[in-house]
Amino acid sequence: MYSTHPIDQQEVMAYLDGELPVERAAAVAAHLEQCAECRAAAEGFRFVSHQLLGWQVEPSPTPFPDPLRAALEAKGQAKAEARQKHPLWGGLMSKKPLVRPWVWGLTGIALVALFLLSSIPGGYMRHANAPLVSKLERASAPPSSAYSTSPSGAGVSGSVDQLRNGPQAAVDLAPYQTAEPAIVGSLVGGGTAAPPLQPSGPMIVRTAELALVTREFDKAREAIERTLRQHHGYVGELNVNAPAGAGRTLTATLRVPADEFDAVLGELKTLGHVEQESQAGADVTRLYVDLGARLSNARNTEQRLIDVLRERTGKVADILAVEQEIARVRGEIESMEAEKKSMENRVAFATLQLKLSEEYKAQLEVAPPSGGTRLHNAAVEGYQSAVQTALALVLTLLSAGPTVLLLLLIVFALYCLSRALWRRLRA
Amino acid sequence: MATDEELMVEFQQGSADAFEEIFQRHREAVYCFFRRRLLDAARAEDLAQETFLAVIHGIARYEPRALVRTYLFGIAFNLLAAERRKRARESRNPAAATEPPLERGPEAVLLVRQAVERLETDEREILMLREYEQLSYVEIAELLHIPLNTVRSRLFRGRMALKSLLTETSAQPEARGLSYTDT
Repeated sequence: MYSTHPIDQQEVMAYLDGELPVERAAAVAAHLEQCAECRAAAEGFRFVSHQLLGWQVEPSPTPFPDPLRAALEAKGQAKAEARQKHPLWGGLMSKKPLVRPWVWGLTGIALVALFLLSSIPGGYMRHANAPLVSKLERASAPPSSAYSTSPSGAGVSGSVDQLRNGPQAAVDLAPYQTAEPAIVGSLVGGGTAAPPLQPSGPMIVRTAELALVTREFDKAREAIERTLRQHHGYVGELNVNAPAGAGRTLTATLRVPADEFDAVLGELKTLGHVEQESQAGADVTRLYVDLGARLSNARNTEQRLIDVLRERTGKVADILAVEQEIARVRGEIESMEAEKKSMENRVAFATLQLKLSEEYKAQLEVAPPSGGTRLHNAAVEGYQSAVQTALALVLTLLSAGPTVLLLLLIVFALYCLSRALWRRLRA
Repeated sequence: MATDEELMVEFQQGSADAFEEIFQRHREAVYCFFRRRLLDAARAEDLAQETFLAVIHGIARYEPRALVRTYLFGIAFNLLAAERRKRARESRNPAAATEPPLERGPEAVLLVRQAVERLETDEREILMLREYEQLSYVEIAELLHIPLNTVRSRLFRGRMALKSLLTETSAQPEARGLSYTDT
């Protein structure tokens, strides 16, 4: 039963039951003020509830049933027996632990220890929230070696083979450094989160496409690899096709440091005839700054949630809700950090789609066969022809033979008959 | 005042007083749960006791995953299902069946009860859990192991059907009667 309204009657029912989110409930409430049909539906629901409330049940007869009292006593007896068997644990499980003096003593010692630990910066909170803080420390740890700053702040190490396996070289990322290690300390010590990312200059993602044709395919391939080595680039992907009767083709995706890109392009263009070239540069500065702002906000939110969790007051359901929210925010943070790293990689390394084609020349026909070969070929063809002819003859006899035989029989019979008649006439 | 969940934790640690407090807070609701679904008041009382006995026996395994009220109604719902299966078996054996006592009460209550009995089984159960036990949609969905949207749609259909039945019954006095069964 649905109306043409933007709000159907099921939502009206859920609104009356208090089951709608706050924003949706406000929308339904506003709609009800203007829609008589929905107000009538709401009245119908209230009518049903009012009628159902009329079905009252008499109160429970027994204040506290004896079977329950017996079960409680039996449980208490079982605990007393456990206490006799295990004095220490039995004492801890006693009915009224708070009246025992040693419990007060232990509580006092625990409070003093708590106070002393809390006075050590980060010490208590790290222990109290060990699983949560250790997970967050791992998540907010400094980036991997791909983006660790080298002592000189410039230069790259590693061979071409290492580079082919991925961006494992150390690259100067000073413009993009953030205060990530400070986050760990802030979580432990209860300080503020890191400030948003602020690049020092525009962040441009450079891409290019280059198609070359060369006569010396192997030399050109070696030159490509040599150029990459010299300019600290690496091969992201490479494919070589060598079809029969056509030239070889190499397609590759090359990643080159952005500041070496022009030099690499210039060197590659000398390897052959340039059939096609294109370049592009996408400015992702704003995206990067926005991402940094969102990441900073998420970290602030996470910190506030951890503070709430640290208090550990309220219902169990609330605590569970906070923990779920922390997990969700942490997931968002990790996703954004991955996106940030990807963006930084794309800016640091330009991408070149390279196609190298080999200039192909068709081969001349081979020399005609010798006399002996021709005689052999003719003999084979003659034999094949004879076989085919004999086969065709046999097939013809088989298909036409019975008919021919029948005709011959008829002709012979007529001949015999005509001879007999002629003899009679002569006689 | 301690919350139900805190009392359960205290009971888990050995406090019988905490259990008595929980019992006093919820015994009427649990009893009414069974009383509205069973004709036999004595049997409803027995099952309500069994519900709390199950809490006592299972306290060592108790984990505060939901409200105590929801936990109690979950136990009660399982006991009710077992009771219904038992009655279904007995109904196949006429010699073992017993006559329920004849119910007396105000006509309005009987009309409502009659109308509720005429609802579809699943719609009736969800409606009663919502209106009488005051469980949320999520709690009902978890209790009956059905999706949340199914709870909402069945509750809507149940309410619309009941409204139609109550309206029809009040418009036709001769349609009223006193015959009914366990819901």
